[in-house]
Amino acid sequence: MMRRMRWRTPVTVLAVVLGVLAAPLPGLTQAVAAEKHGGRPHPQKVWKPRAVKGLPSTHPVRGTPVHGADVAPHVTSEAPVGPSWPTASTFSVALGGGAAARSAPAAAASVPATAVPRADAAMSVAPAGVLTVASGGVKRRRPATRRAPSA
Amino acid sequence: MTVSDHRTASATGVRGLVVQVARTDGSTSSGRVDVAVPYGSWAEAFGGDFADRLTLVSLPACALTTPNVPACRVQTPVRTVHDRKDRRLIATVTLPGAVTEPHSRSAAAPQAQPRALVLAATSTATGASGTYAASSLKSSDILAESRLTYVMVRLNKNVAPVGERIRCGYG
Repeated sequence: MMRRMRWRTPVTVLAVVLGVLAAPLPGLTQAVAAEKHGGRPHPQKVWKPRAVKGLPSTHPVRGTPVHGADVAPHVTSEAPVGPSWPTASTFSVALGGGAAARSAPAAAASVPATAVPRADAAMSVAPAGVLTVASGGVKRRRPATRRAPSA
Repeated sequence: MTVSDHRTASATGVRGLVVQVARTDGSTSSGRVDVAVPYGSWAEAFGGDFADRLTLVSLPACALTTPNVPACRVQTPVRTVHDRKDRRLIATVTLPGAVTEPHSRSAAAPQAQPRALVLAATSTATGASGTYAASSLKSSDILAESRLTYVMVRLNKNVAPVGERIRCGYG
């Protein structure tokens, strides 16, 4: 019985020693992983640039195109165009006898007005049906034709 | 024909332009004319396809004198032809005839006073690209988290001109 115990004790001690030597230290493992994966212990968390066509390179070292960079690509923007409201004005238009439409600037040149309207803000007044038909919004009716009663 | 400036138009509640059309020939009978109002210079004044939603409406005659009276700001739709090619609004309107004042104190013959038709080019909520009417706020749009309450508000694009800030309030 004692012999068996004497024989087993060195074996157990040897196994423990081998196990300690074989098991890597946690700190040593992290250090190796960090050296291997660029400072991060896990390879999946390493940021890798992904190439995107059309975007300039923003990678600090490699110079490869990346997606999701914090540097916005150059975008040409247009400033909002402000409205140009017409100024207050008064003008007169002479109508009658089937006269054609006379725009505001033409009328202002012949009739005294408080202010000459802007050229791009010309109002138009015409006999009923002239402007609406010319713009295609209303179709002109054909005059009704009567057939002569047959004998 | 009298064109009002934008400030006057805004006072009447119109997002656009206000014009007055009247007979000045002294005739007391009404007459029908075509009126074309171009909008090319201010088509981009507001967002949300503002120009596409423009139309002509008529306002009461008191709209320019007492715009604070609600009855003077009532807009009546006018059948409008939208000439998108030339960027103008065209409508056939009836101009009221001039009125004579029978109780004139002057010995001279009473003069006919022209009556003006007030037209406004303004936007409606609906255009060719869809509607921009205000949407209702449902209870599912309100998110309560601890002591803060978040309310999701849908803003139409035409609530403010391009580039302007939007001020929000609650009550």
